[in-house]
Amino acid sequence: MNIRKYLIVLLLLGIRFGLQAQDDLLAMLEEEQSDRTILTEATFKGTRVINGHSIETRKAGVMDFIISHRFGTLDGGGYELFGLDNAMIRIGLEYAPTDRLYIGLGRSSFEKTYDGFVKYRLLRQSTGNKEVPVSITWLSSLSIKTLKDPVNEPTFVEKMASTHQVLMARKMNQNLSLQLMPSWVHKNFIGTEDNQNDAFALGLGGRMKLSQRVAIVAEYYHQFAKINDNMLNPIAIGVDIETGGHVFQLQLTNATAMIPKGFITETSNDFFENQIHFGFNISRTFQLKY
Amino acid sequence: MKHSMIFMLMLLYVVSVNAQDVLIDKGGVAHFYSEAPVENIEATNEKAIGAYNPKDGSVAVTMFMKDFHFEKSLMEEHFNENYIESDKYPKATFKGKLDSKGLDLSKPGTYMQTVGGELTIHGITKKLRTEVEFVVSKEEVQVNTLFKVALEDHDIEIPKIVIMNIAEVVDVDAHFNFSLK
Repeated sequence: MNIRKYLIVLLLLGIRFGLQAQDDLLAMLEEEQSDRTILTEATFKGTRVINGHSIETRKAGVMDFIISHRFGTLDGGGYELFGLDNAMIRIGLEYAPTDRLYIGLGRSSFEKTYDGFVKYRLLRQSTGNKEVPVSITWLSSLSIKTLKDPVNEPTFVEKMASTHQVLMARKMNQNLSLQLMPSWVHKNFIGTEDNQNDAFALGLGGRMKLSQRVAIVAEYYHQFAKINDNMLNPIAIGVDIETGGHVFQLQLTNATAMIPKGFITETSNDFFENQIHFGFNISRTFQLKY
Repeated sequence: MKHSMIFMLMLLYVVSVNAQDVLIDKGGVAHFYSEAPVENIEATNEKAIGAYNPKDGSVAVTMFMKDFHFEKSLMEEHFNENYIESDKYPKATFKGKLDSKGLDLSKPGTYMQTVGGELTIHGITKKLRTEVEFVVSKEEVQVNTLFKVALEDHDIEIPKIVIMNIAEVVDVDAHFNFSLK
């Protein structure tokens, strides 16, 4: 072989190496980043799927003011303006002391109920160095029904009901998120027509993004053990619309209550008989601490 | 045999150029500022990684978009979820080369240099030329730059409803500190 051939090879090598040097610098830096773990954000847009909670909590220092409405049922027809003559409301004030802990208080006009909840993120979905496939959030909710009941005259403790849920969700991809919600509802006081104090249910929820700011959501809870056999399972479908600091959720649901023990175990309307409430949740967040 | 030796030596030389000491800063700062009629938005990333290879003048920067932190956490979520799509395009990167001569890391002083290269944001790569200031001291090299990024260039959509809240062109500045010790 003559030297000219070597030189050509060398020249080509030189060009190759020369080109690589630039690419390699970036590749080398990206290598440095491979040990990072990236948390999956915004599995759901809000802290609620529709009626029930999502795995999401707000970031530390954020207060969320949530107003929820459920109008009367659509089967009221034109006389009731398809339910708009009646409205149930829940006003809620919620706060995130840390990125994992979330607490809230609320008052529902339905049965004049006060409620409080604690939510804690046990596991967060992540990618990168530490891959976690799902997010898991614990929810415990306590409610006190203060509607006067002269027949039973329940004590303070008897007016209470609690719900515990393990919320498990996975953001399958940018546009699709799914959630499973094993739930246990316990009522301290039950009426004569009720068969037990406890209800067990499994909820299914999902969100599909249609665009950057609009998503459709759906939620269903199936009761495996009911407190009252006349009660039906809650179904809800809705649209999430977000604009800056607000998230609007518009929904159609057969549930009247907006707290877990209510919509899971006390839904008497039949979704397929047009006993559907139109409703909305509006959330406005305030950053209290930076 | 003699030819092979020459070949090996030259190859060694080529390889050794690549293995030269590269300056790296893993705690670089990237910051952007959007000035709009309704609100000004800014965010800072303090985990940008930057590198400069004095041998060939090549420069590289990479950072995770999720490391940009905003004053309001909801803004941060919107930035990642609606504008930058961080799940799909997790990083912003730059690779380029110093165009101008004269930078001498052994002589303390301030050098203005031009860097040309490719900026990748939101999965879209665009050419970028920017002035870069190198402040060289005995212990370190401080590198500062300032440039503008048009959101449209990188296919970052601004919905009409927030057109008054977000600038169409944002000011970006970046700072790195390379230790010479």
